[in-house]
Amino acid sequence: VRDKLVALMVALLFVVAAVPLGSQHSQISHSAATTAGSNVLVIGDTTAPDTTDLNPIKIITTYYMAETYSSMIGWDSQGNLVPLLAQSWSVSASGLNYTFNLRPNLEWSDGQPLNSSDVAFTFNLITEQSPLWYYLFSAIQVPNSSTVTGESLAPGSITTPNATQIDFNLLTPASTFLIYAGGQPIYPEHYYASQNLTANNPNLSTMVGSGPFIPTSYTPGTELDMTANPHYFGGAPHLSGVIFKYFTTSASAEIALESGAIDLLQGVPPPDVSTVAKTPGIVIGTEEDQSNIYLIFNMYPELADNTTNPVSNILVREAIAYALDLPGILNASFGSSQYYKLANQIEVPNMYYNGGPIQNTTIPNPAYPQNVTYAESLLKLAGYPNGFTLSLIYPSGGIASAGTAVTLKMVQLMQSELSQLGITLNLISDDSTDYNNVVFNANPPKTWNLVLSVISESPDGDVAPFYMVSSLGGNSGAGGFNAGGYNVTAFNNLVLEEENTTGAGRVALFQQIDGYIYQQLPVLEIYYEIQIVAWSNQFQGFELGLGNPWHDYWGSLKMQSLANVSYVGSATSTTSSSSSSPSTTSSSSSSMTTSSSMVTSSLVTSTSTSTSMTTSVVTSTSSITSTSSTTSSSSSTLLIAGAIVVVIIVIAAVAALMMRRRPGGSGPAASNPTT
Amino acid sequence: MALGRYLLKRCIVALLLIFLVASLNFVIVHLTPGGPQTIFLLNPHISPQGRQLILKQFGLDKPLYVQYEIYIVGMFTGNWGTSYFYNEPAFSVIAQRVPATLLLMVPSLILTILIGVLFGVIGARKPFSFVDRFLSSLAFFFYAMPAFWLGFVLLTFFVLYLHVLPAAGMTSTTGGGSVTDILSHLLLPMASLTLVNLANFSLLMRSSLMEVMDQNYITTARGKGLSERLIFFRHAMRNAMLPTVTMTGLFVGFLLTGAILTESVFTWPGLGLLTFNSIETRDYPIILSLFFMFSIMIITANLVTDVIYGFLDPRISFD
Repeated sequence: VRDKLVALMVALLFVVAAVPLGSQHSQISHSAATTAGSNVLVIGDTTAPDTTDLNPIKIITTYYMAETYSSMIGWDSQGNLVPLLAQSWSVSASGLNYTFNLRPNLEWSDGQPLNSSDVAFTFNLITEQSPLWYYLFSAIQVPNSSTVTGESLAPGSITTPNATQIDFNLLTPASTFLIYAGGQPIYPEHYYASQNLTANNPNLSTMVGSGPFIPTSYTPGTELDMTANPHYFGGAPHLSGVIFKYFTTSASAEIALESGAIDLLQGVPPPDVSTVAKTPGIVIGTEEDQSNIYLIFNMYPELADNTTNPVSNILVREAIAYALDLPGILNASFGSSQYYKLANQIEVPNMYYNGGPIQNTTIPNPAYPQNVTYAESLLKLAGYPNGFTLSLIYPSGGIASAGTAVTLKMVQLMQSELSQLGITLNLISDDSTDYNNVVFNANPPKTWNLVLSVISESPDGDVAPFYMVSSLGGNSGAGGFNAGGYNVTAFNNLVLEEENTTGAGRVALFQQIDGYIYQQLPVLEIYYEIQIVAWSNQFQGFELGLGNPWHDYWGSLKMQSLANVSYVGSATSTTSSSSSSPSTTSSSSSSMTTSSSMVTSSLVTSTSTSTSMTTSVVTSTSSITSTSSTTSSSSSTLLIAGAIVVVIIVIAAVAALMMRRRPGGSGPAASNPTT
Repeated sequence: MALGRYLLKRCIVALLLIFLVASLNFVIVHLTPGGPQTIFLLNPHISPQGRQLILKQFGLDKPLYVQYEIYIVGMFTGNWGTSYFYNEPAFSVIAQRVPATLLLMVPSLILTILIGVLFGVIGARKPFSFVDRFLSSLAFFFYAMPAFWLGFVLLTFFVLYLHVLPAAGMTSTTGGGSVTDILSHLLLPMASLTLVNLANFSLLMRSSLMEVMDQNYITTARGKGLSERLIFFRHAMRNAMLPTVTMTGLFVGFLLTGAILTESVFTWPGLGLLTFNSIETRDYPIILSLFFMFSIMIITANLVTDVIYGFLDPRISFD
């Protein structure tokens, strides 16, 4: 009897423990805004920045500093250049002289004036001290062995005639100079001039900036706090601050979003979207970012182990391209055509050239329609009637932000479609560091035939051809981004010509480049990534779209646009979406006229699961959030709690009863049967 | 006297061991494919020259034996190097994380031992009774669960369904930091760690108590007419505690290593999370310093356990 009593007591203990927890529910609000002070936006992310990311010369992940420091020029969602710190700019006919005119009376967040000397200081700082970024401004640099980078500004390359005017005088024409110089965040001379940034990171408690939000404290790997900049040139932000919270797994981050601990989550994995969208008060937005996912072909005739590399043969590459039904593979992997955009062997779907998208129509659409019999005949022609074995390396954590499951399905479907041709595809997954090592860092010829890779394109379209398939930007050798080792002089010259051309001639050169890649197939482009952003409808004004080339975007969320985000709470949500993202809506309607639009924004609400290209109104039913829903469900949650406790107890009790048969014998843990 | 000599001998062996482990750590870390520079490969803008500059800044352009010498000398002289990605001395990066890990691990360890020993005692008092089997099954039930999975179950249940506990981190976003705030954040990770480790102690305590209760001296004590209660708590408990002390020593060694999976699930800003992130980015100074610290912790804990043994068990002498 006493045994039973003790068992009952233990059971009661569990129930009692659950009761006070259940009754406290009303104290916890669903919205992070209410707990964090209604004017603070809490953003969740699964990759935390390193502390060096808050150091102007050591940044790898750029969007935090893009929030803190404005650049002279930005981009709107249609790719038009828009004035930020600079109110106007001009380029000379020779393409060698650039003039930027700053707005008058600009101020740093501490009230100090922001003027042309800060701009000159910035370019000097980057050139001499930033190993990562000096490279962008090679057109104004000369070698100098005494600096960290081995470069310094060419004498007379930057002049500041007055407080608001900056003149750049280039040594050679550079097509991308306008966007990189214009997009470069400008740093405060009075704050950084006396600091040794190579040795120390800036002190966040005194940090000075020009963007809408300035970092105030950072707990590495956990939380980054930013406060509004009252001196922001676009007017003081509506929010009083932004907080980034970091999670190691997207599952933890999704739980935080659904529970209201965070207000916005960037990069929701496609398979989880439907679950997240079911949460009341959550708005889902999708937006193309600039990540281009593609297959790299190893171009060397022999691999590192001296085996023949069939894909070095153009016929084999074509056979593979024609054998794959890419739309089918992607649809099956993502579960919906909403979450990817077919790439069709064009570097950038819309090249933005001096403000305005240009559509490349020189490539057939689709580039390589699936045709297995044709692919088989190509293989026969190449001398492989009976197929062969290939290796495909892919990142084990998933490609870009597609996630592990989607990526695995994608490569498995490729495997099965290629097996029709007699090609055996060995799938090899590597963790990100291994992957980078084997794919990019290893000396050629590498150990693989195919790699699933990603390149982040700039909206200007200069990145992919230059780095992906030419030997110009870091050769095919160790450490180069051109991992396949495609190295054709004619193509390199074409890319070089494009790099040095300013003016309308560039468009024709881009089309030639695309045509080259279409015919030579050094890479097979698969899709452009669509970023999925989920946020609480208690906030409005988010702008998805392209940022400036210096990554003033985070996936697809424009960092400087957070200045326009405001907290509306749950009561006023009926008006929320009508003004929620004016630029995305206007741009989507205009860009829908072109077949491949850079901006395909959509808003999905929890109540209306349909995607709409126009704004979808967040209904008030969904926005009366958890305060009421938790109250009504409190009794049922308590029941579930009780049920689970009971189930655990029953399981343990049943297990206990089943072990009953051997009293006194050697029980499960009796280690010393006395014999 | 004997204790002093014993301690000295053990300390010398421990130092040698630490040196060996530190060397092994260096080899293992540098054997892992890739290096800190691979993170820069993700950005096509960074030129090969730029990458070489970065390697030089990290000191990775030097020959490996020179790097080893710098590392070993640094470890034993307190210069643990500068983190590549925090741009701060590795020691201070680690020191910032220690309090969070201790806050999670110490209460969880104490709770695990207390409940575990209690379960074990209850079970051993009436072996194979319903209560015994019930508690054993309960401990097994949680022991069989992967820690991170239990963490997600707890999160889903208490955070998403009940809305009673915060989702992640150590403090609330603003207005956090009060004792109740930290406690509410601590509850779930602590509970999941405790539940998963419970069986280690309860089953050990139970089996060693049962073993002791069969010994001749217990029979003697019974023969002397001592009460069952006195025999159990005075004569049996003290001897049965020995394996539990060993187990505790092992667990104390793991105190600072943190619970990597649990910290990840609950975004607890401790050493486990730091280890995880540093291995991902191949931040050699941090990884090596952490490993160095962990080895010192575990070796010291073993030493202390051995000494405590001597006090608990008079049969053990320090010769």
